Amino acid sequence: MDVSRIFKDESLLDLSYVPPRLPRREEELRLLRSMFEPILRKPGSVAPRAVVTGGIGSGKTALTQRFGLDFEEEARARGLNFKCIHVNCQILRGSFFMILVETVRRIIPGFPRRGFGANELLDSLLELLEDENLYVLLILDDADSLLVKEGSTPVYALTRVYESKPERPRRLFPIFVLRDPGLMRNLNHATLSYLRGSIVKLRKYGLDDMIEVLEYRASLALRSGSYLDRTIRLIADMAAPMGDARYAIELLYRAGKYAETDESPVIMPEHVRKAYQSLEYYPGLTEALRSLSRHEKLFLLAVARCLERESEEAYVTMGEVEGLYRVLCESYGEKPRAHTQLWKYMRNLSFLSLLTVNPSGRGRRGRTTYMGLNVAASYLSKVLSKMLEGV
Amino acid sequence: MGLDQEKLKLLEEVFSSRGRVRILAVLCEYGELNLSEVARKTGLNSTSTVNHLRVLTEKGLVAERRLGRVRMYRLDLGNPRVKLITEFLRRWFHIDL
Repeated sequence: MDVSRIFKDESLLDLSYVPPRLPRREEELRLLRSMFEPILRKPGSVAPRAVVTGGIGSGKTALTQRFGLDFEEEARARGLNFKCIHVNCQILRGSFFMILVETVRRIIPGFPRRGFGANELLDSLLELLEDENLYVLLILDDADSLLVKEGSTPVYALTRVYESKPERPRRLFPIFVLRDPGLMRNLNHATLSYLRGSIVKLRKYGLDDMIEVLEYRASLALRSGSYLDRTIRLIADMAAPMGDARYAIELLYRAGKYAETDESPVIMPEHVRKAYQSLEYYPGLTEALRSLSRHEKLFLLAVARCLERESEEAYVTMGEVEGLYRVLCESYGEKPRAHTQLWKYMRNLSFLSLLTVNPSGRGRRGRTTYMGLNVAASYLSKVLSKMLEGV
Repeated sequence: MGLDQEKLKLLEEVFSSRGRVRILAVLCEYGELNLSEVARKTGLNSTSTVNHLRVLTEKGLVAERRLGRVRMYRLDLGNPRVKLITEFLRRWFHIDL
């Protein structure tokens, strides 16, 4: 097997990887710990909660996951039956019901997926925690979609769940991870006042922050001597205006791949420039695409290919997309889904802001749905094809 | 000293039924399940599943708990016989004869 001259372990540059240390986020980590520390001192008597907000790539997910893992370890070392559960609300379509099902199933994988309402399920979850003598830190990542879809209710239910059951020990501790703090204005007054003192704001990464983050991640994932200080600096310069560390890490990874392709033992600034050119900046796009099912990817690829073909058109019809989707299914060896299912895909892709949907076109006969993209069709088509081919 | 008749009866009752053996194997493999999942995974109808689960619960081999409206079933690992059965099942399924 060939050993990479660049990467020590490229999985450590994966966007889902949670590094052991988070440079420039130590203060926020300490703040979270101090907010939740009373659980360790007086388990069952307090119910801390938090809201973590910050822009794309500001480290919200990494911060909450790192905190969750460390806190879980600490609580267990003190003899508490403690579990940190991380759920992505966007992947779960912003549905409170699905989030609760997922949470319960992380504790009992065989718990049924259907047959209840959200309130009933929340009661079952509390019963389960009691039954198992379990404490749960529930990280609700990308909670924007939950707030948009369900409004105040879930936040209210999760933060004030013990008010109607004062005799019960407090066992459920939510952390809401929000990209858009403005969404909190949609919460009702009672919920908002309950959360106001528990907000952790992540400021945008600046140039120095970005350099430190990149140096650290490079030291974990790359072989020593395979990158130069000026290469790191160049990536930081490119990513700093957006303050998006995820983008910076993707640039580093891609540049490493270009260096490998060139059979170069070192990532040179030219590899970074190539990576910068090839990696268009669409914040959060890769993650959103990864959350899609295979058929949703095929459907979106069909939209992208249709628009690529009809480069002068802003929208394509459902009929055109469906036709191409069937062709793509054949070439990828998949059985095409029925029309009604494709409608559901379209609605979900629109919910994830990957598609724009117009119900009917003016001046055209009959009713059809028109779909457009916010992302360059050629770029989307390239990324999706790679994902579908498992590259 | 003859065989303990009660223990013999328990052994017969548990292992003479195809349905009960299936339920034990399924719970050993998947952990805790609700009634309809036990029925689905064993291929039994729901009446038989309920009956077999009742016997296994009475014999202390399966534990039942209610979470809201849902009844969940799992092997009662506090029972030393269950430890023996799970060990046996694991070996049974993982040895290529």
